[in-house]
Amino acid sequence: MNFNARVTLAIKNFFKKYGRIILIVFIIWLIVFLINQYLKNRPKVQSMINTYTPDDPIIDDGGEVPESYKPTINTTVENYFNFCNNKNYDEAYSMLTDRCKEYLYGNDISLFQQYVDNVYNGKKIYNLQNYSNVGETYIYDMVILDDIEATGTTGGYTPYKEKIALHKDKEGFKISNQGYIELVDYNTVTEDENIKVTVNSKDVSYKKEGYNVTLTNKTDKYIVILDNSISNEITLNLGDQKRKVTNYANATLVLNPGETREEVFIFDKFYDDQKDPTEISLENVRVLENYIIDMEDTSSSADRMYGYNITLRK
Amino acid sequence: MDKRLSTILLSIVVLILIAANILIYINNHKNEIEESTNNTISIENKIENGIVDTEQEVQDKITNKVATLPEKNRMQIYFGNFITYVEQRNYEKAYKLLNESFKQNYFPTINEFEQYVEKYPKNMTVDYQNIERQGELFILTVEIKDIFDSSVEAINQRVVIRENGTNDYTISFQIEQN
Repeated sequence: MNFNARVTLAIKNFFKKYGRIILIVFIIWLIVFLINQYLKNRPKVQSMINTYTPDDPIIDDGGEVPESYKPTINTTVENYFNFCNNKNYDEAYSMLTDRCKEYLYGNDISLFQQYVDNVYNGKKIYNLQNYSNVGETYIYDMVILDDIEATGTTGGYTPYKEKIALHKDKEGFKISNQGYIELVDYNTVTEDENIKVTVNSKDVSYKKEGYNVTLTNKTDKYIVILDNSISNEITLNLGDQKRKVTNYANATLVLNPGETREEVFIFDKFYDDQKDPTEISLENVRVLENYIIDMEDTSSSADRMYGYNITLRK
Repeated sequence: MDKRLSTILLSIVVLILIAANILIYINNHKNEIEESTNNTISIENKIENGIVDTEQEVQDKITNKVATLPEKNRMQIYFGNFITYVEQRNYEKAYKLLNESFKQNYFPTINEFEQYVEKYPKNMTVDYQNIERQGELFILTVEIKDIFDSSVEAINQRVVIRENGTNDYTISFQIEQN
């Protein structure tokens, strides 16, 4: 048998033996190829990449704004902004929560007017970005700036940013502005033989909490709670850490014999940090027979010095 | 001997299939690379296969291309188009791209716009230095230079762009006040 005949026979045998397999493989390959071509050439639904998602929270630990709330929230903020921008002070003021009016503006609309005139000095535009959400409170970053489309930024532009919170109520949403969030009521009364402490409430802002307390000296002696002679004299226990009071940097807190006094203890704390304060501690309560202003060493002069914890209960 | 020939033939078939797949892959991949590197889109009418695209066809091509790009590239293309219109002295089209309030404030008539942009370099190149976002607005910081003449003073300005849709936008820019 010559070479050509052998090759022909070999090819014949090869296809006889493997022809079916080759055909199946080829058909599978052809199907995959055709599907690939179809998918590739199919008309694409083009949607532009857009990174602006104003209703998606930057801090997403507390959940998202419900879809059904988004239109109402946006309309509420738009109305509030337009009232401020057009200097309709009454209408804008009426959109704030009662406690926000009291805490930030002392229920005095003229103070709110000053705020509006200061921020909305000229025609402004705004943009919103959901920051975080806690329960039914939705916190947004609100940026107010010159109408840069109309000016092209001629003369510069300085965006003003503040956090606003939207609170769901029966009628819709109320706003608290300038970072203020809400009032939380407490009903905590503790006492020992020397002092009585009542934690009435706390005013919560995005970055801080202010505890409204009533302190009573039950003795006929002086009680030094804070004079900055020792570090961390008043602290807030967050479970995993303690924060020191921030609003007594250059002050003293001394109760005269029998005196009752209202005080506010302010601590740094982010509203959405998911930490739950457990107690306020008066770390070095000093009971003194005699006290003079600017007394330097109250610790060694004290008849008694001890720590006093106030467990917080809502 | 026949068994050896069969093995050789089987190997040849397998190699042909592998080669075919590699060729198809390379061909497709080449197209993707060409597309991704060609981010700059000219609004000058293109000649393809001896046929000159109409303005509408060019715009359609730009729209299709722009839709696939990230925001930063889209903004650069929008401002690039505006600058190209100015460079081509196609002031009417450039003027149409301006925000209405901006026009009213600074260029109530197209003649005033023409006079202002006359001071721009003749052969412009744009250096994009920064881009930031304020809600739905983009603020670009750009330096406009003459590509051939370095003695021409560069213009630094901010540009505000609002994108209403794909290849649908309005522009305002910082006016140099003397």
